[in-house]
Amino acid sequence: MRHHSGRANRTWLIILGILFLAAGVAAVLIAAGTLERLIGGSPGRSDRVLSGGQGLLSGEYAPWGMLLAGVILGILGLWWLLAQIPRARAAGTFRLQEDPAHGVTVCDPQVLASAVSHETEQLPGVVGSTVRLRGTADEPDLAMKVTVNSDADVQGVIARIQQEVVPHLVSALEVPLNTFGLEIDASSKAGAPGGGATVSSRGTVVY
Amino acid sequence: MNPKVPPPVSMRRRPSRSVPATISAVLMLAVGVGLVWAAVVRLVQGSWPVFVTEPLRWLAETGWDSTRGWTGAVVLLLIGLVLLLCGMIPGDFSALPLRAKPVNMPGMPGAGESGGVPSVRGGETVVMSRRAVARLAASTCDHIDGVASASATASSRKVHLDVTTALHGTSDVQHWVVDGVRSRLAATGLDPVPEVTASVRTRD
Repeated sequence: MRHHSGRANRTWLIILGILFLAAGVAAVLIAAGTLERLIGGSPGRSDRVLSGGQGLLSGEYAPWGMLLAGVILGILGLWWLLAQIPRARAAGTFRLQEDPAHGVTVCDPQVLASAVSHETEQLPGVVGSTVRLRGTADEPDLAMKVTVNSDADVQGVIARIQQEVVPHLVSALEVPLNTFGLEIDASSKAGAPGGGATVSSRGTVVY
Repeated sequence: MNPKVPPPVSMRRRPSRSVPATISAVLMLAVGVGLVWAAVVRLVQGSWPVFVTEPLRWLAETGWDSTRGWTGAVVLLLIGLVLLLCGMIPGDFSALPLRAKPVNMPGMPGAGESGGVPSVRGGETVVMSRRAVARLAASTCDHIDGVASASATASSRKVHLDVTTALHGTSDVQHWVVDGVRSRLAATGLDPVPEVTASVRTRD
């Protein structure tokens, strides 16, 4: 239901992986002496990993270079860290006017989402629901997560959501949904009455 | 479609690799803060802090073909390989697709005499989480005669059940369990129906 930064994560992991792998391959080639044989003037296997390290630090612009590198690296790290927070991508206020000269009707999508959630939770076998409306009033996207009792008729619940709940929302918005996503989860909790709740076998049967 | 509106969130997604990404991001942030700190110390006090000079001294004393040099190279290779695999291996889907028929709505603008217009213009995605499939499968087993307890795990293609029974012969129970769960998953609308396997053991 929420947007995760999967694509960005994979891209950055692949970039970092290639960089580390390239550094590792270069180090192996140098340590084996292969690089020295292939490319003249490159470090040899008997050389030190860092020759003239103190010279690097004694340069006039070394602290400024390090400061710049640190800021860039820190900003990238912070951005990547913040990107891990899942985004709801909820819709802004829906504006339902044909012609603004004749007035503007606004609707909080949260109100519609609550109504959809409430109606869904009345369906037999439904334990709970989370509803998010995205997009705009003209192109609304509906995403729902519905938890049903594990003994419920899942196809029945889906059919009633499609045939009752969604049409009611579409009627309210007066436009068909752009996309509709429904995720079904299951729970051992009892759902709304009529949805396959377990009945105790103890009792008296009266004919 | 309005280009400013982000595309709808996928209901059936692969792992977002947030654990390796978070670890890498924290390390990048830590290195960045360390570099800024070192630079500020150098600019204010006129000398580099120890955590900069010591690693450089260590690297200046280490040869490429030494044990430490080879170890460093292998560590770099391994880190690179792990990060690359984390990024490239797609991982299993978080949910399984469910069958759902599109619904037409009469009375909407443009319906005409065609019996209505679709209530959803674009894509309609109905899925069931892997956890839900596992719970459904385990719950189905609880209704099968002879099953004492059952637990299930589900991937996007396979459901495996661990069943305990009070019966000494387990082959019948295994047959009933696999058939029962497969029928239930098919009736639930999973499309395609995942392969169902079961391990049945007799309760001591």
